[in-house]
Amino acid sequence: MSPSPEILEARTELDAIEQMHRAGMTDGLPVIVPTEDRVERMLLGVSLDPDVLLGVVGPLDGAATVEKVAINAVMAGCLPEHLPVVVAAIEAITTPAFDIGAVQATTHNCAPLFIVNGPARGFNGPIAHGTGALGAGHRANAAIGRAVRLVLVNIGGGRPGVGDMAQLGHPGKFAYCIAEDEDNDPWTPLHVRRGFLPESSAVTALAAEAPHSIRVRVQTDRDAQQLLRAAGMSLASIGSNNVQFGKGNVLVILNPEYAAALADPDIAEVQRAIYESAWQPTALLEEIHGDTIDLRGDRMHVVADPADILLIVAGDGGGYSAVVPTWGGGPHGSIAVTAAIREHDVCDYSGVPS
Amino acid sequence: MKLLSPAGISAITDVSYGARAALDPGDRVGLLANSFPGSVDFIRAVGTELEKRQGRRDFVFREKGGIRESTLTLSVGAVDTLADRCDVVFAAYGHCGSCSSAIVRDVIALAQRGVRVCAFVTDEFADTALFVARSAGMSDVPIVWLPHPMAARSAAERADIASRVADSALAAIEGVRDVAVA
Repeated sequence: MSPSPEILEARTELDAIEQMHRAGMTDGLPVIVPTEDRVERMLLGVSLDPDVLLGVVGPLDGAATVEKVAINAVMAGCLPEHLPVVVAAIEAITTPAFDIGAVQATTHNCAPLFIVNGPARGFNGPIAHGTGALGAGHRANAAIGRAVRLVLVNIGGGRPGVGDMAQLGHPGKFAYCIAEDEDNDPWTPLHVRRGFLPESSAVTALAAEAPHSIRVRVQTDRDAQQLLRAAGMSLASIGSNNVQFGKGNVLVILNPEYAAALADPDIAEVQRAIYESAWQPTALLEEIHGDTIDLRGDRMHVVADPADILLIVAGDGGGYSAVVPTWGGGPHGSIAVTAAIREHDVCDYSGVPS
Repeated sequence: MKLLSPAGISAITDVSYGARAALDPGDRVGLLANSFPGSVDFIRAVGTELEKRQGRRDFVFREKGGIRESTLTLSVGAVDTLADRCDVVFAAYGHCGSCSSAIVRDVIALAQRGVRVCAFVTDEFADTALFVARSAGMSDVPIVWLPHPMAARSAAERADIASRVADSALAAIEGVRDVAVA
């Protein structure tokens, strides 16, 4: 291990946890104390040298080395097999187009959401995509999402009221990670649509609000079209950033039943149908918001192009799907970024003390 | 027990703004508005106050172009152009998290090119502005605090606030710290 990390000392495990709380190094919940042994074991999850720089995390512009990320992953409760997903997530959010410094500093409530695709959903988790996948109770989803949050705090300086100026925030700031239900996806998986091979694994990051539920009775082809209208209209909530800024990406999460009900699964047509309902009239926006937004044309759509609406399948069958509005701000307009998850023969760490 | 620190290390070295010259009547002065609502009114009012104190001058005015752009830092080319054309730049204003971050980074980029600067940020975002200043490598970059909110005020109120902060802004470009909130 490189000698770079500072060594902290504490009398007991509980003292160490309290010390880290006082130093602002936690998310408010107790952490696993990152001892050298635990970090060594965590590093066995990736075939990267500890001093490899994954990216720079704003607004503090701290260096996210593999070792520092592993320390935060230990604190989050990750297993070594979760680390490749965490590493990819850090690479995604530190891609300049993600604008992580601004995502952290904005007063908007967004948090990076991570969508995992490919074989890593299984052997790096399993990462849940079914019942309650964005809720509590899924170890890999929670630990991976939390590890990234701790990196944002400790390396990126995203502490509430200083580096993280979200005026309210949302619970996804603890952990916000889901896999796609590729078996029930009527299209190719999200990462393939974004240029990756089907046999590869990848994580897609998006600066997102909390999911908003949509419920539509879906029994006929006509109902399926109403579902897409409802998704579009839900995305175009009059107070949302997306309908005011009209750029970047937004996300629609269809449950497997809704996805199966779509009569025409051509994804471009589905995106077009959502887009055509995802707008507000300029006159109404002007009435509500005055001159605080830049209005264009006679209507403002939530994104610039139908293809900017991301679609995945997740959740359980039944009546509820979700739309996920996004920040919509920043130099690149809050676009999604996808990064590859490095697959490798994970070391056998079964004999290494945990 | 021993534990490893999760904190990141920044490769950026802090370089002090230091003490710089006072505004001279011959200086070329830039007024940068980030296009947050009311920022154009305000920065022009600051220009008016400077003229009251030192006589008429031709300002270099630049606006970012719209509220969506207020969260963006200036491009390297735009910073270079402003630095070529100005000896001093006043920039307004930080009024949210991302736009405060952007405007502090803008004035630091200008100050690093030798321009004397002052950013205006509302007091609600003082912690963010100071944090970003440290992160971006100039923890003492001149900032004058404005009462929050500015955007909801009338143009007359913004002009009144400009009159009250103008002297602080003039002191700030010299590197005078701890200037008062209007």
